[in-house]
Amino acid sequence: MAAESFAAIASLTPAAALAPLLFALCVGLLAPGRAASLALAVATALAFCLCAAVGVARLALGLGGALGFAGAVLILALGLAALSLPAPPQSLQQARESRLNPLLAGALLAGCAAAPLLGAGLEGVLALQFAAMAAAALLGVARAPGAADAGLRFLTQAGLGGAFALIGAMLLARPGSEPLAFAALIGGLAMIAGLAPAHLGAHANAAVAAKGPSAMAHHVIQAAGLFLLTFIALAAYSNPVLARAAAYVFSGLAVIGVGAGALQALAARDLRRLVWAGATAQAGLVALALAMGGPGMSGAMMQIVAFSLATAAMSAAIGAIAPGAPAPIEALDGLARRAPILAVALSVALLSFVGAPLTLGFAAKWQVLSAAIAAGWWWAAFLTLAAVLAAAIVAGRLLGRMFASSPAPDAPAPHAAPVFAAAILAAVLVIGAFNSGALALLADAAIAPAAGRAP
Amino acid sequence: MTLDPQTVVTSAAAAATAALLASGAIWSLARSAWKRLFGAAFLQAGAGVLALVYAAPYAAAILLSAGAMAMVGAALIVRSHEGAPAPDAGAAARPR
Repeated sequence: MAAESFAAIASLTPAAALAPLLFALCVGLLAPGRAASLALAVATALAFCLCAAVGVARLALGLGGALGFAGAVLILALGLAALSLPAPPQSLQQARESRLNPLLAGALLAGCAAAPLLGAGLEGVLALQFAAMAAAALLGVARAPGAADAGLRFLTQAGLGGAFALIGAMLLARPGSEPLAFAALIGGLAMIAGLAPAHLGAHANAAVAAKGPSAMAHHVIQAAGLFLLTFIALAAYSNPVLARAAAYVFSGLAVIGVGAGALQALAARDLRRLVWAGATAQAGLVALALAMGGPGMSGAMMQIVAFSLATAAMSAAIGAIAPGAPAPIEALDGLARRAPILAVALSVALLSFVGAPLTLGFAAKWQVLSAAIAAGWWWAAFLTLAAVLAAAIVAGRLLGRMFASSPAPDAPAPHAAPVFAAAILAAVLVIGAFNSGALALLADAAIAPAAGRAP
Repeated sequence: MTLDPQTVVTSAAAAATAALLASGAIWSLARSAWKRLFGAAFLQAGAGVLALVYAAPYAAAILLSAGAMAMVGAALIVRSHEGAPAPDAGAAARPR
């Protein structure tokens, strides 16, 4: 009886529940007011509960698997960190409209957390696409300069990527169409996740224009998209014909991602742009681990967790330093004297990006590097070391500003809430490193049941 | 010669899919934000009609998603063009 109830709940589609939410959202955007906000609150709560119920039911039936559950937990953690970011300074009218923000963030989190639980089939792609729409609206509803344009670009890119991924997911069910289906799925999800070269345009705009909680929207979408790509890689490597093609595609994405991300991070003068470029290079390393197939899979999963947490810590730190304003790298001058806890937290996040020992980033990069050496992929090992070197140069520059420069006399005091968020995330990055062996075992255990299944 | 209704419906749906996907792909390369947005929405609609043709699940959800995307995009375009915020767009519509 219980199994039948679970099966009935699992067969519901969260995407169908999220569609009315999106329509209610449009009403809220066009005519913000108390009634629209209430309707949105009810729709968001219902959608969130339904997504959670479907996720738990699928997990109980063994349909989602531990990999999806891990993705959902990570995304919820990132979302909670995002909610700690203070909104930019605003007028009374803007404050009234910003009541939409937590609701949109709730829709974004519901979609992103549901996506890895549902897998990279039609359900997962639909959930991710609805989350991307909520992210675009979250970006667009902010009154920051260029925010609406950034939201529109994000929406268009996610829509195009979603269309390709949906067509791919449909073609998967038709025998003989597998190569085309996998190409459409990987290409579409790479567009949504902002993997290079699709990181330019929409994701760049979102990274620079977003202030407050919306600053983390595209990072959350990226983490969910990378989890879905992991499902696709696992499915592709179970098919000998597709395995070779998938390895080539992921290798190409890795080379472009690490190369473009590292060069853009070295050239960046704005902290938000720098974090976006660094995340692009780190996502390139995830693609590299996915290209290696079996031995690289747990490395890919650890790398997604490590770099997402580090990115969230950095975004929280930037939110504390410059909540509603541009954040030039000069804003870090003398940070160690002005806000020692924040400086230490940001340093830990930067060192995790580099892959310094005693951080989770080290464990993840070590896993990727050892998989590359074990597989005899010397170019992949070289690419990993090149990414580490570029990150070290950028981190060294920022650490020098924080610890060796004098603060500007009129430098503002950082906001308290994001400081704590950044400190907690930094502590997780260090504590995680001491559990890296256990984490690797968990990653293997999460991946093993998903290997060979349809995405 | 008699036409099989099933064949007619399938052919019409296939033609609609091809038209939606082709126009969506062309418009998504345009410079205008409107055209790019509707290019993406047309591609989504094409995916929805494809789901109907293949009898894939969630065809209605995919078509709804295309509509939702067009509406959210239209709202954002209105926002990006209106410049300064309106005094209270909702107040005028509410009964007093």
